[in-house]
Amino acid sequence: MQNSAPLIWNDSLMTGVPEIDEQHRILVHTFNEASEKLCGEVSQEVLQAITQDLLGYALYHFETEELLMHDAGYEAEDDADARLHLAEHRDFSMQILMLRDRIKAGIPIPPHELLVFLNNWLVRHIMHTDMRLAAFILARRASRPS
Amino acid sequence: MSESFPNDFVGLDSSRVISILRTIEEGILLWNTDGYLMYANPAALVHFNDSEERSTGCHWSLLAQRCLSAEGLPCDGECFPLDRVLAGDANTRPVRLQVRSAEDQVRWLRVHTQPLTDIHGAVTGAVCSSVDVTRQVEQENSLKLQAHFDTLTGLPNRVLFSDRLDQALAHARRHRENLAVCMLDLDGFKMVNDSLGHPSGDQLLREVARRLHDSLRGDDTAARLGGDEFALLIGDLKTSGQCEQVVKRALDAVGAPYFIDGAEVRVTASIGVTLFPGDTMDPDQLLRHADQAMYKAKQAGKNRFSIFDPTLESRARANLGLIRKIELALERQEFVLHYQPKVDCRAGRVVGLEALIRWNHPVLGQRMPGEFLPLIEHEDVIVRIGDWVIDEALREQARLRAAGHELTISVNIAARQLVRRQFAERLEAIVGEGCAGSVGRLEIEILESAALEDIGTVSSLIAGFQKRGIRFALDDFGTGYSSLVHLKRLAAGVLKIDQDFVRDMLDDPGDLAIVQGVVGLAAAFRRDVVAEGVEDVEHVRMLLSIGCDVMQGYGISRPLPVEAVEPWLRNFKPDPRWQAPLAEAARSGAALLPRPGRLS
Repeated sequence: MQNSAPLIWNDSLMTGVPEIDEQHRILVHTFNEASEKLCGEVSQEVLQAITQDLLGYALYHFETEELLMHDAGYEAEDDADARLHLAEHRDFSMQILMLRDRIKAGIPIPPHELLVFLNNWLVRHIMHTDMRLAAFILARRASRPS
Repeated sequence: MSESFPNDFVGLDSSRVISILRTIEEGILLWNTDGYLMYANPAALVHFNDSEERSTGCHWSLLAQRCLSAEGLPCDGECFPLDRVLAGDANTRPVRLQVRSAEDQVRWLRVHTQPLTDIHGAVTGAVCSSVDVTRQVEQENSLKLQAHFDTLTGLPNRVLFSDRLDQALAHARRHRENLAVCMLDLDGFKMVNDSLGHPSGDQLLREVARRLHDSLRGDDTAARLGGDEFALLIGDLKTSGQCEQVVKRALDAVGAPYFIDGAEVRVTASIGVTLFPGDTMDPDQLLRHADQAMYKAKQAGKNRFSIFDPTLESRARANLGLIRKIELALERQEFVLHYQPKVDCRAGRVVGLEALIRWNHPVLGQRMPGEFLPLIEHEDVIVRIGDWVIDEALREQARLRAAGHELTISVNIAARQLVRRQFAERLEAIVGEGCAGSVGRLEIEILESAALEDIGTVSSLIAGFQKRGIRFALDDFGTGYSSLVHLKRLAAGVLKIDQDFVRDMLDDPGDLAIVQGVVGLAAAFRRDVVAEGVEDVEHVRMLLSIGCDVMQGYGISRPLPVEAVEPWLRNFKPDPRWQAPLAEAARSGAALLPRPGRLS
């Protein structure tokens, strides 16, 4: 497994919104843990445990982000990007559910596939989609200090 | 003594003054304006370990050379401020000095230097008064020692440790360094103490302390917090591997044999480690986290170390939050049921509905059961959700019956709920109430894997209630460790073929074989069979040809929100293509129908 170098939580992943960053840090950790587990013997239980972790992450983290998004009035300002953002969240959960169905049916999941999926998610969603949302939230907070 | 006292000021001649000065315990040193010693009384000579011959006429700096400051440094003009006083500074404070006594002991002096002035205020010299404060300083030092060091082992105590931890944290933050805080607890110390007695126990603790201290690098701290509990502070770590090395060294050192009163004694240690940065900046919390990790090391079998995982804790917190949210969602009635029709395609009639839970999440919108039920499958709230599902499904069944639709309703029940005594009581109540049409029309769907968790309880539950009109179905059959023995023991009346096999059976001969196998098993064991995941007409035709008549899936109907159920039932007509001869079905374009994306 070549893709096992741990992802270091660094400034390039920081959005600047503390609530979001704290949860992203956990996601990065979950991701690293998953990579580590996927390098060993990958049983159905391991895969179920990893995907369950990801489901939990999706439920609480997406709620945090979407509440922040809503409170900042993101839809009103940039409806297209808000929709895109929600769509990416829903797609994440959907992909995990499909993965779980396949695991349940005993269809082998190449560990590499899960790693690539998570890696892509991290890079695409956190580094791009979340950054745009965070910039918006920070600008809102700066102009309207609570 | 070249200088004399102004008689008109003191009213005494110098010989009388000198005889007075001989009698007092305070040392008195008189200096001229050039800083040379003119007079020293006997007490002063003793204090400074000096003789009259040697000292008279010497410059103050020679005397200062024989002293050390309170911090143990050579005396400079600051701690022996004679120059300043002679220059007219009347506000110097008393200073503490150390002098070696004739017995080569350290003598502590409090020395106060003040200018001597004539009646016009001109400085004519200086006077030093000295007091021996050795006993006072020793007492203070021993109190300080007691306050900061453990009297048994001589290691820093909790107070000094937390002081050093504060400093180390500040330093690590400034210089972006890593440090580790460790809690160490001896394994089996109580046994040594009990069997060999307290004196031996104390001796062992002293030896452990010495070894811990020796195993650390110079700047690191080993402290005794009390009992057989120690703490380590390891600073300036370049890698986490470095920390592990130090901790392993400490484990090895503690674990080596001891010889106490001629007997060999062995103890080991469990160490919990937490790392900064990464973990919190709060010192108390760092200690608590190290303590938690130490308990993990104990649980994992002792004589080892465990590293605290800060994200694990925040994840645990997040999960607790989720469970609470799901409980709230139940109270706030955020859950709804959707109903997916099951159709007997050979007979062309609807035979039942499967109730499927959805969470109308206030922020995230409608969530599928697969997204949240796995997170609470081991929590009590899943039992309450299961109860609610049964109640709600039975209510809907009654409403539909009133509208003229007599249908079986099935609900999904988690393993955690199945094996509870309360669940049997609940089914008892449903059967007892007679619930009019409900008897024979309620079906409990259980995952095969869930049934196996406690196959004894589940099989007697099934056996007991199936006779009395509640049916059981084994859901997702074929995906677990299906075995004929299980099938024999679990008298569930229905086997449900997992949707993954059905969906792929047209392309994958292996999946088709599984579907055929389950249908064959059901026939052999006299069970009914239901196929899930039917997506198009081809699936229906294939299943009918295999001998599986009852099916559900998007190809028939997606799960319907409650308000859409009755209209759908009213308008239901069997698709003629299901049972049309092959050629006719092909002509009508069945095979070309696009497959809809699958949801759930």
